[in-house]
Amino acid sequence: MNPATVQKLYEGFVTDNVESRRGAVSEAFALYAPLIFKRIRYKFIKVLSESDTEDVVQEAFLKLYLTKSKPMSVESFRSWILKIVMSEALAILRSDYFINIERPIERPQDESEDAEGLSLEETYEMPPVVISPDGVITAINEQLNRSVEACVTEGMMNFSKDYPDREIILSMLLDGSPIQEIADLYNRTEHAMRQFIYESKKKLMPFIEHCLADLREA
Amino acid sequence: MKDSLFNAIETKYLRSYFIKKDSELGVDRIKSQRSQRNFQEKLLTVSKQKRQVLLSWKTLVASVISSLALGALIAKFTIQPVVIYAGARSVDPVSGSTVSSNVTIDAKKGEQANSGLVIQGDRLQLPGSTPAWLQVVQLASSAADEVVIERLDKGLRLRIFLAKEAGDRALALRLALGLRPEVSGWVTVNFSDK
Repeated sequence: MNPATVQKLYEGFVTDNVESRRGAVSEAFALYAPLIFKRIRYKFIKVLSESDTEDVVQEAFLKLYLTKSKPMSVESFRSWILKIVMSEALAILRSDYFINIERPIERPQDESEDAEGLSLEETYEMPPVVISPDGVITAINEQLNRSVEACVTEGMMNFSKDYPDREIILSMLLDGSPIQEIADLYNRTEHAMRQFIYESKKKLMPFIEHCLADLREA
Repeated sequence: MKDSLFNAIETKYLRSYFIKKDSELGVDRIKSQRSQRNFQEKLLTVSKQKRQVLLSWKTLVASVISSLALGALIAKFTIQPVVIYAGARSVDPVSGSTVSSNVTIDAKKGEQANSGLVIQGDRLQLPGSTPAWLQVVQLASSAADEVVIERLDKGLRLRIFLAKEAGDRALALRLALGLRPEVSGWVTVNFSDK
């Protein structure tokens, strides 16, 4: 996000001017509501309707408007917003919809590895991308494409049953959300979230790699 | 990281899956103009309610302060003197029945009593450091049959019952207060800083 926008938003929250704060909350809603909506919608799809989820998110942002708390700094501003709104949303789910707070997401398998500063870029070797110069991918016929999509969908559905949080986080990542933003949403450090995403990819691949094997060979 | 996590093919199929899923779940609903407008309206309503609550709080605080100020004003004019000490040693029936006079002494700031004590009324408080009035109080409590000390708005009132027949200390007390030795009965001493 543009630093000037962040600064403006931050000032809107630290001021005592009611109008400025209202404007800031409104802008924060436009920026962050989709992320929070997505998390709740994915997670509670079986118990919450689309409009209920929308109400929960809107209510949580109204609580943000009413809170007396103020962000400590511009740097911690996004984290401050996401923590407050997410915690308010979970409180509303518990009190108004009688939905128990979810379990915290799984920790990385090896916390010591995480603490040592392991990063994905340093440890993960990308498999070779097989795209021939003459555009083999575009030449794959529709039938094959449909069957691959169906296979991936099936694999992802199984994956989401086993690892719902990992599915949401991968979805946010592919949407283009910064890792720090996702980490703030889950109240984790950026480094821990990187590790979690790396592990999620490792766990995901067995569900879909057989679908994509033919494409690699093509 | 998001660029290097999945290769192009994986990214293509995963994105396709998530786009479909988002669409089925209505994840874009919150981004719609209708949702944004709806939130703006709710925000405006809450903002107005908040202002009203703040106003009512201010009114409440103002009314409490006014009540307290009014109460303090009334109290200033109506509160009775407070008895801060009352003691009786031995009220003998003979003395009690031979009260011959009611004497009131008004001692003011800087006033020189016959005994030579200077009564500093502007420092009247118990326990205090002003020896003059304290000595009178001490003398009264040891010599008089009954002593009542009352806290006034700006001062102290000492009510002493002096028996007709008394010892040396009672005589000293009479002298300290500038009374004749034969005076007996209730003596009221008002210490004031006015």
